[in-house]
Amino acid sequence: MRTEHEVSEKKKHHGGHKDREHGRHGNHKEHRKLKRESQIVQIWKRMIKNRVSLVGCIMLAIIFLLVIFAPLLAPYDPNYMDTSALNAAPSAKHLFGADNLGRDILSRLLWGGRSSLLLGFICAIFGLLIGLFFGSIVGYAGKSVDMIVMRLCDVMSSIPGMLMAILISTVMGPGFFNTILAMTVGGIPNSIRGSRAMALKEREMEYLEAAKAMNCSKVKIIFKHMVPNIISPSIVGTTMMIGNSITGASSLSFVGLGIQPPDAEWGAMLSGAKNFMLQHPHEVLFPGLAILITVLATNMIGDGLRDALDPKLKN
Amino acid sequence: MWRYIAKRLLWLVLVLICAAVLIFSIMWFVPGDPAEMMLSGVGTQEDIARLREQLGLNDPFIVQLGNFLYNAFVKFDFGSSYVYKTAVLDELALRLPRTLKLGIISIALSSLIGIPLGVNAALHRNGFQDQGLLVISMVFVSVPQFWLALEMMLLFAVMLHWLPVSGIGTWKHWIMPVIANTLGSIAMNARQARSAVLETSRADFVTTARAKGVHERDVVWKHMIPNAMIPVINALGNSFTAIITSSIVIETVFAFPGVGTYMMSAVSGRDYPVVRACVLMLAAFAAIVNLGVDLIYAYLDPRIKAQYVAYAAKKK
Repeated sequence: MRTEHEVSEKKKHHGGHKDREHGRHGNHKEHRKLKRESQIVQIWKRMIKNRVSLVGCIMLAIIFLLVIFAPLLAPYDPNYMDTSALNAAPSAKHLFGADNLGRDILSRLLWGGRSSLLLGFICAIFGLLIGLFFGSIVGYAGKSVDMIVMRLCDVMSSIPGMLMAILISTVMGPGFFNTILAMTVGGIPNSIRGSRAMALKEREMEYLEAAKAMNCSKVKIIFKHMVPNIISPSIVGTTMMIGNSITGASSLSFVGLGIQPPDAEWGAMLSGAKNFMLQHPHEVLFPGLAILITVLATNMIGDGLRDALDPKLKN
Repeated sequence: MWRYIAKRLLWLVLVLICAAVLIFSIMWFVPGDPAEMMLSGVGTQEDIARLREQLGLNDPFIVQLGNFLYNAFVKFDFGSSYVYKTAVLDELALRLPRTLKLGIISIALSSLIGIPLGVNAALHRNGFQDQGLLVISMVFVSVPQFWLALEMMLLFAVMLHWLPVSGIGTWKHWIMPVIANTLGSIAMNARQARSAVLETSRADFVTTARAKGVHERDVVWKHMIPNAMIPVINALGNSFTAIITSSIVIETVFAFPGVGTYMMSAVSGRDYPVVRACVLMLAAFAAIVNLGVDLIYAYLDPRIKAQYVAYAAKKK
């Protein structure tokens, strides 16, 4: 609670400076930048201090590097079929073995990580943006708008997220963008609820009253003053969402929706490999481990972030 | 309190009707003609046209929707499967109890194991119980459950031959699906219970109890834990929903003949009535369990009860 207050206190300051910015710049601008940075640096430092989230950050950074440099690092083309290595066990030639079509599993993991990670991050960020947009409007407007939107959320969330995702990807068919759509829609009610709860708390703050007294337009009050203050607590939820989205998208691909072969995606790789699992267990081991490690890293970061943003929980 | 319950029940029915409309509308956009698919290769163009008429696929959207709602909510009839030609309700009556049993066993196990673990960790803060729980639960929260199911199947069924690979029959068939379903939510419950107990341990009433000289054992068991359990119980509704949805995928891994496998095979076969009925049924049970949890929550937490009573009084 205290940090949240501090944040709003600073933002309030920051808002005040902003209006005068046209007249005097230089000093104020720099001053503002310094203050703002110190907040982020503070949280960052607190997060790094926490061993768990530090390890999570390092893990995720390594995964990102591996995936970004997949073209350089992958020993083979992900779709190259080596007929002499059908279902090959891990060896020096194929470090993680090869699948039933002789494709190198390590290369497919590196390339497939791109879609898995992208899916996870895009779904989480969409969820955050949609949640912030509607949640802050609804929370600020209150009354009948709030009532109607929350009842709509009740209806939507009566169909659990994963079921909704299955329904939508059945209708839309497989594919990268359809999977994003399916995963995002399933998560909308929760993200709106989260942002709304924070907006409700924020609505009572003095700096918003001050903005209103200064004849600020509603759009400006919501998106310029309120939203920046509810972003930082939302980030924790978003970080946790990344892991959920990666698991969700891979389960969709696993049951034959979502991303489909021959496109490499970790869930789709598992889906293909499960048919040969009994004879070649390595084919399901590595994609699953890749999902596990990535989701673990994001969850560790989320945990550390929560502690960093809310120091009360720590002690 | 009774008015509150009645109001919530009414709202539940309303939400489910809206959810049914939503499900029907989404499924309406599925590409492909079911009549053509059912008769692919065997029927002539006329047969297909006749079947379309018979299935009511030529009716306008609003008429079809009305028929669906009327049949589902008044006559409790979900039509018959396009693929198997059997009544969906008969199949569901056979499969739903299995899925629910799986869900209930899982939720019971996960709360009976997870909550004590979390409480124990919070009481020994920073001890080995706490650190160990944090690390292990973090891993199990992150592990994709369907993959865990696959690996368990390899280890216990294929390599060690302890348990049957898939299907249903003896109690041994239930072990792996239950474990695959439970591990993640044990970890979730443990983490939730831990942070709830830590939260209450800082509450003023705990300090007061200590200050007036209450025995430490009584502080923990009479003041801290009962209060900490309120948010934990509230979270149980969500974990039931999570278990039901994760069991859809896990059922397909173990070829467990529940609603999940039925639904997933219907999804690939474009068997609309089955998909609609399965989604609606699962949503209904998730909603009913959540309502039950909410009512228990309202009953346990005097603050919420008081809030409702005050609200009702103000209305009069």
